[in-house]
Amino acid sequence: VTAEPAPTGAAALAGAVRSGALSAREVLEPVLERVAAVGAPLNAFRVVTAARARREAAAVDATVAAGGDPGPLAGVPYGVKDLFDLEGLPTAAGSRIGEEGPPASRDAALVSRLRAAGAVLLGLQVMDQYAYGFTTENADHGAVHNPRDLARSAGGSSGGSAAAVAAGLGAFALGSDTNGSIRVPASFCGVFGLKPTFGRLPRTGTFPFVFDLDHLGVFARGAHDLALVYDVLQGPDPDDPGCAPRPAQPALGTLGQELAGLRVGVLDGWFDDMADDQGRAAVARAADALGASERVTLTGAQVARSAAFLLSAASGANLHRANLSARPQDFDPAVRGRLLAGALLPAAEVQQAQRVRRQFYAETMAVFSRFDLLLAPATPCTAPLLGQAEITLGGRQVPSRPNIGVLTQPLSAIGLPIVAAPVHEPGALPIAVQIVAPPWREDLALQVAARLERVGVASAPVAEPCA
Amino acid sequence: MSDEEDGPEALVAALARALGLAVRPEHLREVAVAWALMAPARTMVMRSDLGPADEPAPVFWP
Repeated sequence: VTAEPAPTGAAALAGAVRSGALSAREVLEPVLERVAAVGAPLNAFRVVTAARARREAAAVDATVAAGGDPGPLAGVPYGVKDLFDLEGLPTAAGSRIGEEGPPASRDAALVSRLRAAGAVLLGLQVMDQYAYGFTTENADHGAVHNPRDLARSAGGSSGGSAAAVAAGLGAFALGSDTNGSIRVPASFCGVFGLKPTFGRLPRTGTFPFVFDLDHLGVFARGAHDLALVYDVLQGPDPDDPGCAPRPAQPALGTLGQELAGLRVGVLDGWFDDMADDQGRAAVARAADALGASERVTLTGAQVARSAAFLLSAASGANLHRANLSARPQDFDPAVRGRLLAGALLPAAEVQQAQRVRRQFYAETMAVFSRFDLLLAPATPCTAPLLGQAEITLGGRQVPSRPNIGVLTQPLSAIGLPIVAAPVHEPGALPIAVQIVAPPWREDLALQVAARLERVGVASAPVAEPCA
Repeated sequence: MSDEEDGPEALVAALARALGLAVRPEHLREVAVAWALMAPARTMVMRSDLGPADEPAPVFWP
């Protein structure tokens, strides 16, 4: 690779553009070169919107030249998962069916907010078809390669987004997380990921998977950048009935707060049983840095994971039922079988699964009366090889695709805000720690992620995949 | 194809017919595999002790 990686993160880039030290165009062009050089072998982007990016950069530079405020993300390049609407393009959601659809009439709500903040869009990033997967091995769009080891999976379903951020193809990216699709690829690619509270960020203009489990969120190479972007994204939106009518609660200004007295618990039971030694070691490092020694068990975690598993299949099947009947040959075989099986689930089981969520939520809220935050590994292993059929889980060999999310699914099933903080050990692939907060306390999880970064436990260096 | 191999596919085919869901014969095997993978989760969810069955569905916003 001859092109240089993006030299800094979102905050530093925006600062340089806002001050006039760099133009947005000067920031953009090397990143576009790197996207061309590195993005292709990684297969991180399905569509690169270079012309749009240059228009957006020019608009930022014109605002700066006129003495105006170009926004808190002025000139910062970013990408979005292939399920965000972009005006003038069909929303593929990782599918050929979507690619053949009509172009979107407007940008997704979060893309509009980022444009208003001065950010510059690089393109659409490869994902598992319809967000139903944990490995981003897409039958139509190919597999995303992990920039830390090209033979390995980037995780999924937001694999292209995590791989792009890890490789310096933009300062941040937007993804979605229904069962772990931000936290899993953050763990495998070694970047920070934020899945906010269910209902915090509007999903208007994005392709759904499971209405009452879908979250949108952010990847970045540091906690400060996560918070900076998250603050821009916040705010209610009546066009998404799942978005809570709550005012924004900015987190960026809280990152330096003193954490003394914070009660942090380490999740035991399911979250320890399903982890491997590296995941346990990463959590132990984080716990040591935070002075956390008490362990706590959520007894309903396994059944909550089962509930999320069933609800995803049933809801996804309902969403795609017409196309499953009319053009099943156009589905990814890895997705089609699970959706069709989901269409066969009895209503009583789906209803029972919803009640399981309610029960697990009550159990977890009781635990949050004793703890401010909880820690757990994000994945049961580091990145598997592309095409790897099985992983080791609790000492047993199990199919990889349905089981990579065993540690993320119980927690998204009840909508908790979580930061995945990557831990890198020399000579090893990264693995992330989930920092789990009570509802609406993204600020706490981000503060702890920033603390772990300051003390050297968590980090997200730019990967040089082709070096 | 042996009876043993044919069994799960015949089951999902019958279920799909009963529900009016079109499943092409060439896709029955992958549906049967997915259906089998769901079995432990279905059992676990249905055996959960959740108390009275008249509780409302979960709220969207925790």
